[in-house]
Amino acid sequence: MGYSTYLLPQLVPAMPPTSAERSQLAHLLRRAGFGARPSEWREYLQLGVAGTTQKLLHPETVPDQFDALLETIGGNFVDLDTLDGARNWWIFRMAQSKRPLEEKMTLFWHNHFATANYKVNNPRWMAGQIETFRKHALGNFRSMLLAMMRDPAMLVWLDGARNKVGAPNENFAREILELFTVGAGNGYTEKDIQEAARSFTGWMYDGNTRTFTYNPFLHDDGWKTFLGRSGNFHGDDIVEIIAAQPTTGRYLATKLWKFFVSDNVPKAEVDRLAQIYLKSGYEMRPVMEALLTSPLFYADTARYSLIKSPVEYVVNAMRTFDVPLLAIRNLPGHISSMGQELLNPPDVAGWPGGTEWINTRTLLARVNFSSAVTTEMNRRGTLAERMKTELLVPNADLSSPESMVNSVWEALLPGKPMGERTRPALLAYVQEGARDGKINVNAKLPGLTSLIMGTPEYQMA
Amino acid sequence: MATRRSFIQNGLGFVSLGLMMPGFLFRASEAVAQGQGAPGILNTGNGKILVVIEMSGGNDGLNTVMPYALPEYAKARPNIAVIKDQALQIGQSNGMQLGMHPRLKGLHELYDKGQVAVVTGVGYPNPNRSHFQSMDVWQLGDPDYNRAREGWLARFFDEDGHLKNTSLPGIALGQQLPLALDGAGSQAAVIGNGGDYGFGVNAPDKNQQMAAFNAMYMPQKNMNGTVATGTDEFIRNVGHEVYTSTEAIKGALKSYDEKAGVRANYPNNNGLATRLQTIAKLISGGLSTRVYYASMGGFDTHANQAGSHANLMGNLGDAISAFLKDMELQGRGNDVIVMTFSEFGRRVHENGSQGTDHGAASVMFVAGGGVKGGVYGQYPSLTDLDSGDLKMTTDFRTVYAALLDKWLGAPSAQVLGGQFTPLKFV
Repeated sequence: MGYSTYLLPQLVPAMPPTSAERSQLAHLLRRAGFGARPSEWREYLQLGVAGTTQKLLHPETVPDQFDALLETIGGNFVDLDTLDGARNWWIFRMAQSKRPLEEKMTLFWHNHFATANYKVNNPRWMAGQIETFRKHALGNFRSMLLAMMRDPAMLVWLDGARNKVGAPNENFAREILELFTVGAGNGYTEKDIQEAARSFTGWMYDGNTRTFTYNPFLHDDGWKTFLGRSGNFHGDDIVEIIAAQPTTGRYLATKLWKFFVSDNVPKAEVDRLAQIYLKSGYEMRPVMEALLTSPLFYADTARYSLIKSPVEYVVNAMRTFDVPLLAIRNLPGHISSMGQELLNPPDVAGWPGGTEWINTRTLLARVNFSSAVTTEMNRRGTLAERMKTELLVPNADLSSPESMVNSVWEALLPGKPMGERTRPALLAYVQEGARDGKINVNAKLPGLTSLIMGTPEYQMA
Repeated sequence: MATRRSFIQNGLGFVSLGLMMPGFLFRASEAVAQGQGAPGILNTGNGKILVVIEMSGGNDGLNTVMPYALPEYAKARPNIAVIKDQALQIGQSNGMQLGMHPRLKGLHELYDKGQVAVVTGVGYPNPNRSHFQSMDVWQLGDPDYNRAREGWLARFFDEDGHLKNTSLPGIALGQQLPLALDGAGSQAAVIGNGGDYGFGVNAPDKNQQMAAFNAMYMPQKNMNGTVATGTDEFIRNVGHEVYTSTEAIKGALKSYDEKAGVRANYPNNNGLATRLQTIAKLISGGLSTRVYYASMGGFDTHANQAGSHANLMGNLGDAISAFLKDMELQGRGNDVIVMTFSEFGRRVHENGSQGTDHGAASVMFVAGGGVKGGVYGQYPSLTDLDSGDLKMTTDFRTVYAALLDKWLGAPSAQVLGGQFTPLKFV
């Protein structure tokens, strides 16, 4: 499949009937990606859960055609020197990526090393940081740390470049320990922060070349003691010590589990993942493989247990309906009004997530976005067609209100039970205006789709 | 900052409260059932109102209100100290002459009219220097994390008998519900910038869709009498609030006296001022809401802070003074109090980047027609420090206690889980 299919989507054979495997695959693809595009289902079903998992874990085996895609649709509208341009560039990639796990990990790292343009004030550097996250998405965490500590956006964000001998700035050192690696309260002291800050003195960035430089004249050459070890440490020594902490492995494992699996984090799983982290020399791919193949990943209590982030909500909708990239204006604005300003996390701790995503304002924004998508797709005449040929099971029964509601529900939320308030509301909507018991399917499909996307159930991933 | 999440996980609160639905929603639906008008609209509007301004990032209290004449002050901050004869004088504390930042001009005029309480040396025992943990402490009103993770204002909604028959007890501007307003029993609406808070369904059968939305977001409890829990049901309750609150907000925004707004002279390019004007509109529109919440960021001034902090001070002071002027013109000057807070102050000595690192004790402002102005609390010593930081002399809960007991009319001991002697500014 070439990228050009995106502009003129080919109708692929409809997917096989709902099965336990399809429901399992849908779960995998929601969590380890942003949901499947209609045209991808056939391949994923052929690969099965195990094959799909391996494909997700090895993005390097799938060609990345994103830049070519951007060119075909007039890529110059993505202006990386503006914040919304940089956001669009990334949102489009998430919506189009054929390497969904790589892209989902990139989003994870953006939230983990949360850096915001409101201080960096350089969208191009922000985009550069995202590229670095992507490069190391499933790679080595120590390499990621070393790259982050030389990342110009990060150096500006945490005042790292202002850190000089005799006047160390603690911000950088503090947040690395508290939020990026070992975690708050996990066995380091204020003294450790100060010693790490001294080790990072002299680390600078060059605003013109956008590169990291080291100024030995501003470096504190003295003896330091950090986390029980002493030496004439430089920044890289600190990274080495931090990466090797068992607490770092456990901290990462916990965050990954909460992001990909469930809010309930079993200690045994954290310990297992942390062991793999240490034994593999800080490699993320085996850690993620262990996570995605854990039986607990597919537990009933894990499925649909996480609230979709705004980015997931929007990108998932784009992929589900294969919404053309430019069909909905101002995607970054939609995501922001749902409470997630991409490239502008609220602070260095990232977005708190979970139920924090849902308040009156943000839920309203989700409902309004769903309505915009379904209305626009309907206006283009593609919604009903796409629904019938690609999303619904073959020969889906749409003749009665019950069967229509059930069929569309199962297409959008495979395996998710309908709440007892939701069902009568959807039925009443579909029934309304029916003549002699016959429902006007084409007239009701957009509204029903929009309403389902606005249900409490659909907010869950 | 996830109260609800922890509630859901631990199952705390639901058993004793008996329901997960925000209490005011039940009250609102009862009020509608009894023909008492649209939810959110109170006919009398005589309740006292608190407007909370969060200054996030850790405001440099020492450059907000400074002992401008003290040699130790200038010495600790060779690059960023406020110049002695530019400070706006406000009186003495602990033997030190105090002044406000020169850009707090608007606030200083109100101070001269006796409408601003400057609370100095505010903090809590064993200060936490992490943004997130310290912000939680302020929002919970609980440095010891002894109680359920429920915000201090959310607890006020529960403790205050006055709120039994009102709806929308709290409103936050922006996209996020602050922890202070977040709780299982009583919830606040988050309304963006106010004007953009409404359904944008643009379909031919919009009315049918809205009816379906309303029906599917009716809390499940009414249906079979059992208590529904879980995340789906939490979302269902929020959706119900969306439906009821959008109409109330829209109605209130319409009844604002625009002319008074113009005379209040809100500054341009000042996000806080825009948010406060929206609050002014909702107040004069007759909402029964008792607590409003707005925030401004940018206070984490680790580097080159002189210019950026000055702009923050200017925005803060100008916004508050325009807002209180507006309230006066709308005839509500004695009903509204503004309180500012930040998670911590900053270190006494500037760092090598002409900024300041995280510190401890700071200052708060409480302003409005109903405030007894003056300097409260002891300004901390600049020489007797705690790891380089100002020592706390005034527990922030004595400020909360004064606002709860004397202004909002709620028992502070219950809300705060202990007795704190209210400061006497109200």
